[in-house]
Amino acid sequence: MEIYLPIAELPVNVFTVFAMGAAVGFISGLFGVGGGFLLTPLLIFSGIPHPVAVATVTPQIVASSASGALSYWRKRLIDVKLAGFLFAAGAVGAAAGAWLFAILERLGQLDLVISISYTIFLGSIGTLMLTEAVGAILRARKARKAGRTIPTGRRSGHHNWIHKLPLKVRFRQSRLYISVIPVIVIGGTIGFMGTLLGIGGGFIMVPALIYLLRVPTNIVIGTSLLQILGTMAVATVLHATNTKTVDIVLALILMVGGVIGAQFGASFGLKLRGEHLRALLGLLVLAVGIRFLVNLTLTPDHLYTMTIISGG
Amino acid sequence: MEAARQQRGRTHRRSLIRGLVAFGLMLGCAVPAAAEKLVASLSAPRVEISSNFAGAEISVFGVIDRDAQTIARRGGYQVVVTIAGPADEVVVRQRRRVAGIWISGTSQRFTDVPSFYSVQSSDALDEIAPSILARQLRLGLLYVGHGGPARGSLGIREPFREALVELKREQGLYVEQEGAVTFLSPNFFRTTASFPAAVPDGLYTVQVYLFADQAYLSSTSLDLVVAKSGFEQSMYVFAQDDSLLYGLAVVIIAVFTGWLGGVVFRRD
Repeated sequence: MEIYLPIAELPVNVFTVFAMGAAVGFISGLFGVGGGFLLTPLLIFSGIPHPVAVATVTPQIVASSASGALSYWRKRLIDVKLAGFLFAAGAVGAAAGAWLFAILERLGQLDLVISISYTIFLGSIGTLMLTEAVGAILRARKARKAGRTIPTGRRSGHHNWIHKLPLKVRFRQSRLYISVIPVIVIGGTIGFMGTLLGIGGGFIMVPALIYLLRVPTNIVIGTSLLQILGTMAVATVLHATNTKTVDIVLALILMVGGVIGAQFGASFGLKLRGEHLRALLGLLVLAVGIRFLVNLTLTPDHLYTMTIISGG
Repeated sequence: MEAARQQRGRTHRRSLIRGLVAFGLMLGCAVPAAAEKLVASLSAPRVEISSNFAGAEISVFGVIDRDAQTIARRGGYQVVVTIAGPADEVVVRQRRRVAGIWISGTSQRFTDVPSFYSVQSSDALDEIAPSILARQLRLGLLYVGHGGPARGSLGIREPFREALVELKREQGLYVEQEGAVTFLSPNFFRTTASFPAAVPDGLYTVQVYLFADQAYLSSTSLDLVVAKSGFEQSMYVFAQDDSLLYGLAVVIIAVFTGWLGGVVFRRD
């Protein structure tokens, strides 16, 4: 069944888009990530224009993170103060991202920048995740052979250089007394990248909060979801006012598919071991990065591209 | 992107210019005995883009009206029907390989590029009219995309123009069909133009040209409106005119959908 998208100005198959939303929702439920980094490329590779794909995935991320944040809120597993700091920085980053997005679109370099950023970004994050997870799997296997259990919780008492920075603030829920500088840097960078690339950034935020700021693991996901919810809501409004490429019909189909898919993913995820999940996620991230690299280097069908810049 | 959809009313001005060109040709060319009158009509004056829009077809009908003094045309009549969509400004970029990666290189800007252009004729275009006439009337894709600031020589610009036409052709937005116009009787003709699903909206101009014995006799023009209807139209206008409110509405819908999903599938 084809449906015409009012903003993208082209028809799409409802079931295809719904299936995409559901598949990405499944993966996001499985790994506890937003899935924007998969959904945006999927839309782009299926022929939705880059600006519409990026701008429309932002409200889809709002929907999926709202769903998740709600359940953590009920369990009181969110550090609201930390999320607020991250969000404030994220909103500034999002504004910068939307500004650059509009400039790049005007210059006709948006597609290229998105492709290169995805390649570098996903390539390096995917490699890091995969190495870490494979290392953990090997260590666990060795430990099992030796007949002892390995200690969980990584050097939580260890302090690094980040904890020596000035402007310290107390975050009671996370039981942290840390400088706001790394908090602002993390929030701002993720807001910026998220708006520019159409990703929520949960898969970077969560490890950054755990390994750099030493936020307790049980608080991390809810806090990250709340911050992503806020930042992506701002990004949606910014995209709607700047480039006017948020397609409500496309977003709605993706949201419904995503919310449903996420439920199945989450229950399936309970059956897998943590390090296996992380290895799979790393592989997936790496694969998307490689797909973009292939796209960049493969000889295109057309040696010319065409951009409509204005009527008249 | 949104700018492309604005100001499409300018087609009016172009059709006026084209009308003047046609008028000038009528005065200037050696067609003193052009007594034929052309009457044409469309199967529908509007193409509505609704939620299940998957393209449309519009037929153009026409009658050649002859009076008692009209001389006999030995070679019969030939008809060319052009349909032009709202004009756009288009940038064509050439891709080149830098360190193994394809990036956008040099570009050429084209103004007054019809977003849609279909040329349908009863016979081969070069048999109907001499090329100088065809160029003036813009009969054929060869004559599309010559507006705009030239950067470099014509030889440098031409591959960009050809690429533009080729890309548009692949999207089904540029069509050239010789022999598509059929005569049902010596004086009655018909043709059907198809619009792809991704057709831009705006005011279109349908122009019908009548030729006989390599000479241009007469022309007539009709307006065709391609417009989104109902929900699609209101959403588009909402997103364009009240973009802040639209953005906030999308966020509220997103939060609500997420909340609903969380409630429906509550697992804790």
